Amino acid sequence: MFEILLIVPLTIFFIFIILHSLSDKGAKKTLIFFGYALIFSFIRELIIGTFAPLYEGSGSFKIGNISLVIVLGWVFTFYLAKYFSQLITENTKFHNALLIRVALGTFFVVGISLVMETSAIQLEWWRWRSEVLPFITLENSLFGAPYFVFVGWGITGFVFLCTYSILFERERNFKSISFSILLIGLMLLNFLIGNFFILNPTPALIILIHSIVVQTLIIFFLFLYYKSIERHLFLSIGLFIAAIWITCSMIIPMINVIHNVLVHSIYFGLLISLFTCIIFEIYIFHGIISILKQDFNELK
Amino acid sequence: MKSRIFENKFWKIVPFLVIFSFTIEMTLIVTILLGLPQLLIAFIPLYLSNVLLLIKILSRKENSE
Repeated sequence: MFEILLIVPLTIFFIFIILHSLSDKGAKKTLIFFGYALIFSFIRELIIGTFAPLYEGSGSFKIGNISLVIVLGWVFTFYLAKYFSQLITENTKFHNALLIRVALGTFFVVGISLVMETSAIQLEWWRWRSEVLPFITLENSLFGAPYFVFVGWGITGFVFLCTYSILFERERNFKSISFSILLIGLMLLNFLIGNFFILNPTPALIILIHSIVVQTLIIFFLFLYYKSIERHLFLSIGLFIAAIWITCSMIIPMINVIHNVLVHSIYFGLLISLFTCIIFEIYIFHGIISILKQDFNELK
Repeated sequence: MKSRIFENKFWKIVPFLVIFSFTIEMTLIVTILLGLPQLLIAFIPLYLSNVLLLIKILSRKENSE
């Protein structure tokens, strides 16, 4: 019913961002960016639609089961996320730091996802299939949007921005590239475990494993890289962790815990995992702050 | 060769205007059409992004002047 509210503004905005890209980057780069973003989004939707059909888009603009509006929506989000990260890092020392640009872009994608997912359910732009996700109710979701979906948006944004920079922007910092690939792997692992926790009717143990295993792996690799990388890259990683991990891994379980405490009953495992998350986040923050202090002292 | 239309400074902030319009549109839909202002809690990161972009654009203008 409200689909026109999605299609009309999206089309207008899309024309404007293509024109902006033409004016800013020229025809060749515009073609490369939009071509890659379209192919990436289409393949993503194809994989999700084939192997994990958790949602379906409404409307008539479809190729098979894939909604073209959703594909265009992804391209729109990627372009704006890239613009956001470039503008924020402009004239700063982080302008050439791959991970910090990607982290900012991912933050923006998660911001868009919060707006879109909470509104889309109410406006029936797409729906979560209750036959596949019987546990998704208003009580254990953010206004009808399952919590894991925000992590999914973040991972998609992260993977796109990383791969685009590496493939088409001549990103040649080997350590940045290898760490990006490592993080993509860990995030996908996190997402897989997170999906189990969402789909499982007794999530306490799963979320505990999710929190401890994945975050321990992150800290382990962080420790390894701390030994070998340049400082600006460590700063990027630290800020990356702060921007993405706290959003995805700490706030989501926290909301879940609050929901469970208020609506159902107190899950002991969930509380333990929450404390685990908090301890890890404090540890990471401590690392970031101490490095920042060193940097500021050197600047003086 | 770039068209003369694109030489206008307006084109540089088009994506910001798109983000801003999108934010306003979704805010109006949620508050007026759906009547669910409690959903605006989920909009906070996007509002923050708007503010960051605005600050950056304004500071850039000041620097260029």
